[in-house]
Amino acid sequence: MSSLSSALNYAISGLTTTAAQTALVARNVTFASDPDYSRKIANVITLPGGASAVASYSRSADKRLLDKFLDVSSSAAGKQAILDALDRLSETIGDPESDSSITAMAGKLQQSLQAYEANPANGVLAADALRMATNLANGLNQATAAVQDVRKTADEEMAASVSRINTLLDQFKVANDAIVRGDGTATQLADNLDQRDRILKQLSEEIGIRTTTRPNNDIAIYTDGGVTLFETNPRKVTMEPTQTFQPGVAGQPVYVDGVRITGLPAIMPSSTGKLQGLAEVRDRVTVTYQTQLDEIARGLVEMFAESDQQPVPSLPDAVGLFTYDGAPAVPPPGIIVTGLAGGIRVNPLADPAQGGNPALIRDGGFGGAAYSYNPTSAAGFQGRLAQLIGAFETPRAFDQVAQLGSQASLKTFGANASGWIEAKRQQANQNAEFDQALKSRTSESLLRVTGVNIDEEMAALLDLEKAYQASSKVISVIDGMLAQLLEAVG
Amino acid sequence: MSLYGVMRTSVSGMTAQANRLSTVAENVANVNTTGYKRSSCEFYSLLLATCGGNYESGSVLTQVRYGISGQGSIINTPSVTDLAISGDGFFIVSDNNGTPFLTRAGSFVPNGDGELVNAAGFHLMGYPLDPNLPGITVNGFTGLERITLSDLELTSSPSTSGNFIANLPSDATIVAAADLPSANAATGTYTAKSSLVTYDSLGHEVVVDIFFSKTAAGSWEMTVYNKADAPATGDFPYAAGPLATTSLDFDMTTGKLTGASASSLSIPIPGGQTVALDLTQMTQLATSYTVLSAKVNGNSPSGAELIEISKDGTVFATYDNGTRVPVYRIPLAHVPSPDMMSPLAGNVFLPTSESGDVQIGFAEEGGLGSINSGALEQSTVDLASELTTMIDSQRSYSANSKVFQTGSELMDVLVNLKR
Repeated sequence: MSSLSSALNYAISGLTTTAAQTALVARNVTFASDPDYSRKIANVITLPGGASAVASYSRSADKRLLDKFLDVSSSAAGKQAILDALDRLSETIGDPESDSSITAMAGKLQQSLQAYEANPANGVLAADALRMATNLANGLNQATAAVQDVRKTADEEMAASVSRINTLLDQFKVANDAIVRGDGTATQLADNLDQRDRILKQLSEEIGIRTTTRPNNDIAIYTDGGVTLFETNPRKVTMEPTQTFQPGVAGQPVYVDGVRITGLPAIMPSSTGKLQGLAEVRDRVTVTYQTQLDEIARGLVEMFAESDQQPVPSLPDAVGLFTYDGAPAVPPPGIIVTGLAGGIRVNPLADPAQGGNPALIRDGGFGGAAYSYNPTSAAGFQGRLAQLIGAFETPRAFDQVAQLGSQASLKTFGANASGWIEAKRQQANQNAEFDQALKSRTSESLLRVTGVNIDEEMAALLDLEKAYQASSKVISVIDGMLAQLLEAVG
Repeated sequence: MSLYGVMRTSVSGMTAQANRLSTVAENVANVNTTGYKRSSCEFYSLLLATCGGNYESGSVLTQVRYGISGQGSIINTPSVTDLAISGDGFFIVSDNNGTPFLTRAGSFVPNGDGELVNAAGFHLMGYPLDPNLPGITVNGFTGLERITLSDLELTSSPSTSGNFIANLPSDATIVAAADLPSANAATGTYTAKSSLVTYDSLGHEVVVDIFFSKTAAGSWEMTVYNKADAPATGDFPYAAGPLATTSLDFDMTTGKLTGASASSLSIPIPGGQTVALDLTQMTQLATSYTVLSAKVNGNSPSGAELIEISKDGTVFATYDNGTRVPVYRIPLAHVPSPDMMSPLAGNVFLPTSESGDVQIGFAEEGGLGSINSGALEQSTVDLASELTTMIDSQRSYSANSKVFQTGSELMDVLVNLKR
C-alpha cells in the first residue's frame, strides 16, 4: 500500500528512529570517560510494510576479554595486598642495612662486648654493653609488636573485604535478577548489563572469580577454587575477625558457602584476589617472620645462658644476660619457643636502675654463685666475655620452621632473616608490578573493544543529522503536495 | 415524460455523488484511526426499458465497498500490548455482552480487571494455555476467553530437572572410605563442593550441597545434602542423611564418564519433586575443579513481571527468575471474502452470508499473517486520493446539477408554451 499518507508515516518513523539513535550517541558520548560503560549500538529494523524502528540495543562486549581482565585484576589485587603489607612491615622494622635493624643491634652488642673485654675493669664499658643488650631486646619486642600489628591490620582488611564481597553479591543479585527477568526498556537492560559487569570487576579485586552464563543470560559466580559464590542467590561469605593477635594465635579462616577457602587446611583454596593476598600475609609471611624473630631471641637466650661452674657441676644451665618468661630454664636448642621475641628482656640483675650489677656480664652468676665464672671477682677477668663474643660466630641449631636452615651462627641467622623479608618484599614488588602492567594492558584491550570512540560517535552523529534532514525534507515535500491538492479543492 | 426522467436521473447522480462524498468524509475523518479500512463507492447503472423512439433515462445506484482486506502500514509503539497483524486475519474481540466480532484495531491495554481492551472497548479473546487442559480445539468461537493478565499472579513450579557440568581434578587426593560425605561422619571430608538452588512444591528455595570426593583413580562419589541440615560449624555431620548419592566412573584415557557409569542423579527435594540432574558431560581432567554449567529449573512464587507476545500470537508471562510461561494464544479469524463483511462502529466487522463463514486459525499458520507486538496498523486511508476523489465528486455533482438545471429550464420553456 503505497500512498502519500504511508509515505508520511515512513518519514515520521525515520525521524523517530534517527532521534532514538541520536539519543544513544549522546549517551555514548556522555559516558565516554567511564571505563565500565560499554558502547551501545541501536539495531534498526524494517517493520512489515516498510517503516523503520529501533528494535533493540546491543552492547560492545567481549566475554573472553572480560574473563581475562577479571583473572588479571584478582591476581594484581592479591599481589598488591602482599606488597602493601610487606611495605608496612619494612617501614616499621627498617632497612636491614640501617643501624636500627636487629642485625645491626646484635653487631653493636658484640662490639661493645669486645670493647669491654679489652678493658674489663671499666664500669662505663659495662654500662654501655648493658645499653646495647637492652636496645637489642627492645628491638626484638618492637619487631614482634610490628609484625602482630601487620597481622591485625591484614585481619581487619580481610573482614572488610568479606563484608564488601557480601555487599557486592547482594548488588549483583539485583542487577542479575533484572537481566534475567528482562525488566525495563532496551536501554535499561543494556545499562543493567553494564552494572553487572562493573560489579564483577569490583568483585574480582576482592576474590578470584570465574563465571558461567546460564539460560536467560543468568550468571553464576564461582571462586577460582570452584566454590559457589552466586547461583540464583548470593552464598554467604563469613570470617570471624580476631580481636588480639599474638605470636601463635592463628587468624580465623574465610568460609564461602560453608567451604574454607583460606587458612590451613583450606579444602578448596582461593589462589588470587585481595582476600587471598591478605590471608597469605596474615597466615604465612608474617607468621614465618615471627618465627625467625623468635629464633633470634631464643638464640640470644641460649648464647648468654650460663652453666654450673662448681667443681662438680650438678645444676642445669640457667639464663644469663637475656631472660624470658620461662626463666631460669634455658630453652632446648633447635626448638622454637613461640612468642619469645616478644617476651625477651635484659636480666634485671644486670640493670643498676633495678638494683642490679652490670659487672655480672663480665663475671656471670645471674643464676646464683654456683654459676659465677669469676668467683673471686677479679677486675681483669676476660674469660667469660671472650666466650660470649665467640658465641656470636658459633654455629648453633635453629628450628626448621623459620625456613632459614637448621644450622647457622646467630649473626648469619639474623642477617638471613633480614634478607628473607627484604627478598620477599622485592619479589612481591616485582610480582605486583608485573600484574599491574598486565592488568593495564588487558584493561586497554577491553576498553578498545567496549569503550566509546568519540571520533566514531561524531561520524555517526553527522550521518544521523543527514538522515534526519532527509526525513524532514520528505515530510515538507509531502506537505507541499497535499497543500497543492487542497488548493485545487478550494 | 423523458424530461422528468432527465431530472430524476440527475437527482440519482447527485445522490450517488453525495454518497461518494460521504465516504470521502468518513475516510478523511478516520485517517488516523488504528485498523480503519477505507470505504469507497461503486456505482452501477439502472436502465429502464425503452420502446420505440422514446428513451427513458435510467439512474445510478451506489454500493459502498470497504477495503477490509487492505493492509495498513505498521508503525512502532512502545507498548507490548499494542498488536498489529501483518498479512491476513483478524483479532477476535467481544463486546461486553460477549458477542464476538472481528477487528484489526489492536491498540489493547489492560483494564482494571487486567483484561486487554482496545480503544473502542472490545475485549481481546484468546485460548488459555493451561498445561492441565487438553489441547486447543479450534471450532468456532467456543473455548475462547478474554485475555486477562492479572490472573497470572503467583505461580510457582517445583524443580524437576537440571544439569551439572564440571571438571573434577584428576590429581586430587583420595578420600578415605570412612571419611566420605556419604558416611556423614564428623571426620567427613571431600574434594570439591558446590551448591544449587532448587524449589519445592510450594516454591520454597531448597539449597542443596553437592559433594564430590575421589574414592579411587577415576572413581568419584557424588553426594547431595540439604543445606538446611548442615551443622553450624564444620562440614559434617548433617542432621539428616544424604538426599542422594552415586558413584561416577571416568575413562582414564578420555577423561569422560565411562559407559557403565551413572550419568544422572535423581535428587528427591524435601517437600518437592525429584530432580533428575543430568551429569553426562562431567569430566575428570588434570585441572582444578571448575563448574562449567549448573542449572536447575523451577521458580519461586512470583507474579508475572512482564508480558511478551510472540509473532505466532502466544502470550508469555515472564517470571522473576526469567522463566517464560506461555499463558494464552491469540487466534486469528478469517473469512473467505473479507471485503464483504459488514463493518460496525468501533472498527469491528461482522461476517455476513456474502463474506462466508468464520474460520479460526493461528498466526503464521495456514496463510494467516503474523502478529507484531509493539506495533499498530495504521488506517488505509490515503489523503491524496481522498482529496482527488473529493474534487472529482464535486465536479460530477456540479455536472449532475447542471443536467437537473437544464431539465428544469426545459420544463420552464414547456410550461411557458401555454400563455
